[in-house]
Amino acid sequence: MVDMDKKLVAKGVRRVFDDAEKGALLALHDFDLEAEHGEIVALIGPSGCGKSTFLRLVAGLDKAQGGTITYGGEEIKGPSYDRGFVFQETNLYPWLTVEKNIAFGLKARGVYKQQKDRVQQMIDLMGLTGFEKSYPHQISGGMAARVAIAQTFVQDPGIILLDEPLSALDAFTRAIIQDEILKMRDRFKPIILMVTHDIEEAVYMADRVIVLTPRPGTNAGEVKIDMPHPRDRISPEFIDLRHQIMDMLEFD
Amino acid sequence: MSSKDVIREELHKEEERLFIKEKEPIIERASLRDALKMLVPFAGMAISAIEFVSLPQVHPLPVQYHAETWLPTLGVCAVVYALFYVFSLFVRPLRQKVAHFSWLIFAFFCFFTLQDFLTLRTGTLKLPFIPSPDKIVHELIANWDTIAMDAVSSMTTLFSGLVIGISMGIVSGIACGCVRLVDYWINPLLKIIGPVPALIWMPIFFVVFHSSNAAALAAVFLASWFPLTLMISSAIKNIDKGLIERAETLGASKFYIILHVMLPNSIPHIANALFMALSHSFGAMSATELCGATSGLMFRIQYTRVMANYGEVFAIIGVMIVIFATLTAIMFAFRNWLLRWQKGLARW
Ligand SMILES: Nc1ncnc2c1ncn2[C@@H]1O[C@H](COP(=O)(O)OP(=O)(O)OP(=O)(O)O)[C@@H](O)[C@H]1O
Ligand SMILES: [Mg+2]
Repeated sequence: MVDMDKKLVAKGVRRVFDDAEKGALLALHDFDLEAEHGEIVALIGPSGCGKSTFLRLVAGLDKAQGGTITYGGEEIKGPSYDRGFVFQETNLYPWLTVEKNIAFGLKARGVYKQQKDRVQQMIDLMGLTGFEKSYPHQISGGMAARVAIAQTFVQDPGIILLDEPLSALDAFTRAIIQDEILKMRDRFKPIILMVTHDIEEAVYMADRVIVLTPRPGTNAGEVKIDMPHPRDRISPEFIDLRHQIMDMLEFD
Repeated sequence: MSSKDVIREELHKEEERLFIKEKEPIIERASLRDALKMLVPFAGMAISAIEFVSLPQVHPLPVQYHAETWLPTLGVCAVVYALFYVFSLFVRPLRQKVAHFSWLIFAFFCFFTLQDFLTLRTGTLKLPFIPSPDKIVHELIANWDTIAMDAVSSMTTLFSGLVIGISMGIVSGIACGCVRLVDYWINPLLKIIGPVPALIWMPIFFVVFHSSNAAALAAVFLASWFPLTLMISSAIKNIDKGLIERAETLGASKFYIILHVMLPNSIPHIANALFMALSHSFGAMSATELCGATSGLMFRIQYTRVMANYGEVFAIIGVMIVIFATLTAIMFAFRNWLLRWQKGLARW
């Protein structure tokens, strides 16, 4: 069970990539972020500003050159199931069925026997019933995105990192899965960091939107979104927030 | 339209796409066209039988040869095929296969008719170096016990070599792919020894192992170990890093990742490596048996050739073709099973 008092705190995070040809490339620079359980924080910024880089640092897949990232006061040292990652490309394991893809983490950690029911629950919750035995190449892109999300949520991680998991989907499917993610948030109350290019998506789902500058990425501003769910996408308040974020994104 | 409806509709579409092919019945009576098409092989057998009884023999040998096994052989073929024919009239999947192969079976018997005509009937192909089909079957029946023993001997060598070579190939492939130090020492070995046909080491093997059977085993081992090590290690080195990172964020250990991500990910390459291993080991085994072994099918061919029993030489060649083709077919069936999760798999 997740400890609800833990906080994710990032301070002065800096990441430089060494490039043999172009020399050092400063991707992320002096970036701060704080997030609590039950909160969805959206990261928005121009392409290449270091959003994916930051999520990878939080996941422990990469190391920062400066600053600190802590979760519950402990520094992040490496990957853990407690910080789940839904990647930009939905790369499911093609040799595993939908069911086994979702159960992958539980099996890897040796807790599958005790938590078997969670897999079926997650399948039902994400509308995947009837496809348990299908292989990834037999299901649609929308279904694959659902499986990828279920694969992470089934582990009940404290932090969930979503890197544009819905960007490849049509508007219809995207709207459905957005609601499903909100449903999961209410149920499990993790910290959700979500990278997106879609301002509407950010305003629809997030409690806070953090805007990043172009590379080297750093905090450009923050917008709090205090609307109850389900949010009305065409209400004046909603549209006003969209404009506010759009204005912040106009860099020159 | 509510989101539930959209999901339901999507599910429905998907379901139709997935299960649409399943509805064809297994038991179904044949159409007249198929029933006639499947009769074609009988025509092939009939042509062969008519040619066989109606044409006179030439007699290049001092003793007249009594050709007496070909007609019974055709009879057995006819009975076996008749069984297939009857079942095919009702069993759909079987019928598809039989109908597909009917002209090929026809051509198969025409080939033997032609062979008989060119050997026993006209002497165009020189007897006894090229024997007639009758003679080949005759020798096969007369010598089946020695041929079977040699086949067992060959297969024992082949299987033990393959089992050792493949299992060690998987282990060393994984080790090379994952551990830099192992790769440093094994990789040059692969690059230098790998491309060289196992046959070249034969003289050394004979000296080192003192026994031709051990030398054959070593040759088969080398022929199967090399492709597996090479393919698996390169598959592991070139794996999509995202698959590994995903496993790490899901809480998998290094060891679990090797077994459950790296290994399955290299299965398509393993399947190709198995094919290479199999065909190379056929060659390696045959070659070793040819130089200095005291049993095995290739040894028997050599031996009977020296004894000028060409009928038996051809009979053994036929047996080898059947064995190798069967093993290859089994290997491909296994491959297709291993790769059942792959999209648009090229079936062989
Ligand atoms: N492994 C790496 N090696 C070198 N440079 C990298 C590496 N990963 C990212 N970069 C560079 O760092 C910068 C930030 O990349 P990142 O993927 O974080 O951007 P992003 O904000 O996620 O962009 P997008 O919105 O297009 O996904 C880019 O300029 C990229 O080229
Ligand atoms: Mg990105």
